[in-house]
Amino acid sequence: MAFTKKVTLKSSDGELFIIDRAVALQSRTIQYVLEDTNPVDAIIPVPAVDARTLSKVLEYCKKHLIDLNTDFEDYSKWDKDFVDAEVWMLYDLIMAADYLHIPPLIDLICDKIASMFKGQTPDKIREIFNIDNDFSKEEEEDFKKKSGWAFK
Amino acid sequence: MAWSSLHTDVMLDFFSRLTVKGLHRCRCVSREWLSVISNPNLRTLHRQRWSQHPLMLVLDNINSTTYVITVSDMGGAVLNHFIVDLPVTTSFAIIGYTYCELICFSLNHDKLYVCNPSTQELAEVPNSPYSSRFSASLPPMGFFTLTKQRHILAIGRVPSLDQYKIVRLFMCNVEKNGAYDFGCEVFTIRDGEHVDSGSWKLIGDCPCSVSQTSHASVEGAIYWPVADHALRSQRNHILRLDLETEMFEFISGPQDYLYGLDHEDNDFISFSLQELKGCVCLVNRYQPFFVLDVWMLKDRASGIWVKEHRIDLPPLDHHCMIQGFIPSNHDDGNLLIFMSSNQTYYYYNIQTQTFSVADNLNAEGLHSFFVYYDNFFSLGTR
Repeated sequence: MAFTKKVTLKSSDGELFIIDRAVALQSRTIQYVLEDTNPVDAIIPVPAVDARTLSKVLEYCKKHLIDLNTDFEDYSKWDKDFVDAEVWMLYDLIMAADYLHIPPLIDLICDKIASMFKGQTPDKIREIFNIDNDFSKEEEEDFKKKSGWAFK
Repeated sequence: MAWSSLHTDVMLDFFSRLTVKGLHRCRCVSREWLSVISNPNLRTLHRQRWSQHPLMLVLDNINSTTYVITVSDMGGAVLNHFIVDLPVTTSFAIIGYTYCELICFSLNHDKLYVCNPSTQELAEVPNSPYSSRFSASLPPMGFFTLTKQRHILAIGRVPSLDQYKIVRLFMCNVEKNGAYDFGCEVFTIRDGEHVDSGSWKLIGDCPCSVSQTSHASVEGAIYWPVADHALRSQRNHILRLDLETEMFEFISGPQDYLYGLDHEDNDFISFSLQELKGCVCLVNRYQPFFVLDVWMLKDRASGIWVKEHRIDLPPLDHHCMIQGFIPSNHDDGNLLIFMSSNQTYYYYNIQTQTFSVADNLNAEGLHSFFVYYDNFFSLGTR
C-alpha cells in the first residue's frame, strides 16, 4: 500500500504524536511533505512547535475533521471555547498555525486577537500583549493630537 | 512572547480585521505596530475584508448644522460615534448620498462639505467658479423649488485611481419659457491630499435633463434616470457618467420591460436606480399590483438585465425605498427596505421572501440609515 493511514509528528521538544493521516492533511505544510516524500512510517519533525501547542493544534484539526455532521452553531460554540485562552497560548497557536499553514485556524485566532483590541487604549493593549512602549514623550503627544479622535 | 517574530503577513491579517478607528489606536502601541499598520498592503487587505462586511450608518439630524453619526455592525455593536458640527447655519440641508463611504453635506447653493465617517474627517470643498456663476442668478425650478437647490449632486469612487469624484449637474442658460441646460463639473478628491488643494473641473454640458431624486453610484460611474421623454422613447433610459474618462453615455433599460421606462406621461419617471451587490439596479414599481421589480445590469457591454427580485409589498404599503443589501452567512441575505407610509425599516429576506421589522433600526426621532463600509480614505485634514 502506497499510503499509510497513520502519520507520526515529532514536536520541537521531542514528543511523538501518532495521528490519522486525514487529520495531518489539514496542515498544508505537512500535506506538502507527505506529497513530496510519502514517507512510509517515517517521523515528520515539526521543529517550530512544542508538544503543548501541537496537541492543541491537533485537537482543533480532529474536531474540524471528524464531526462533519456538526452544524454551524455547534462549531462556532466549540471554536469560541477553543480560543478562550491566555494571550501567550494564542500567540503560540498562531505561530504554529502559521508554520503548519492551517488557514481556518489562523482565521479563528486572528478574529480572537482582533476582538481583544476592541475599545482598548494603547496602554491597555501593551499590558494585554506584553509590549514595551518605545515611543518618546514627544511622539506620544503627537499621536494624542493627531489620533485623539480615535480614543473617544 | 515576541510579536516581532510573527510573520508580517499574519500581523497584517489580524490588523485588517480592525476598523480604521481601531487601527488609529493600535498604531500608538509600538514602533513595530506602527510600521506594520503603515504597510500599504494593509489597505488592500482591509478593503477586501471590509467590503464583505457592510456596516450600518445612522445619520441623526439634531439641527440645521449638527449631525450625529453612529456606525455599528449588523449585530448592533457601536464602532464609531461622533458629532459633525458644520460651520454654516442654514435652514436647509440635504445629504448627497450614494455609495456610502464618504458623505457629502450640501447646505446651500454653493457650500459643500465632505466627511469620512471612518476617520471622522470633515473638510470644506472649495467653491466652484462655474456653477456659482449661474446658481446665484437663477430662480429655483421644478423640484428645486422645494429644496432650494439648483444643482444635482453625486459622489462616486473611481476604483482604478483610488479617488472619489463629486459630480455636480447645475442649471445654466435658462430661457424665457423655463427651459434650461445642465452643465456638469467634477471635483476630484485624492487620498491623503487636502480637499482644499483641489479644484472643480468643467467637463461640459450634461447631454439631457435627469431625475433630480434618484441616482446610483456604482463601480466608477454615476447613473441617472433620463428625464427627457423624447430620449427615453429612443430607448435611452439611463445616463451614465464614467468617472475615470469623464464621458457620458446612454444605456437602455431591460429589453422586455417597458412600463415606466417609456411612459406616455411626458417627463414622468417611475423607476429609480441604485447600487446592489456592486451592480446598478433599476427598481420599478409594477402597477397596479403592489410589486417591486429589481432589475440588475449584469453585463453593461451587452446590455444584459436580469430580474433579480420580484418583491410583493405589504398591501397597504407601496411607497418604499431599498436602502441596501445586507449579506448573511446563513442564507441569501436581506434587503433593507424603508416604507415611507409608516416610516419603518424592514428587512426583506431574499430566500424566504418575507418581511420583518428591523427592530434595531426603528428608533424614535429623525434618523436616516445607510449601508456603510469602513475605509481608510484620508481627506488630508490631519
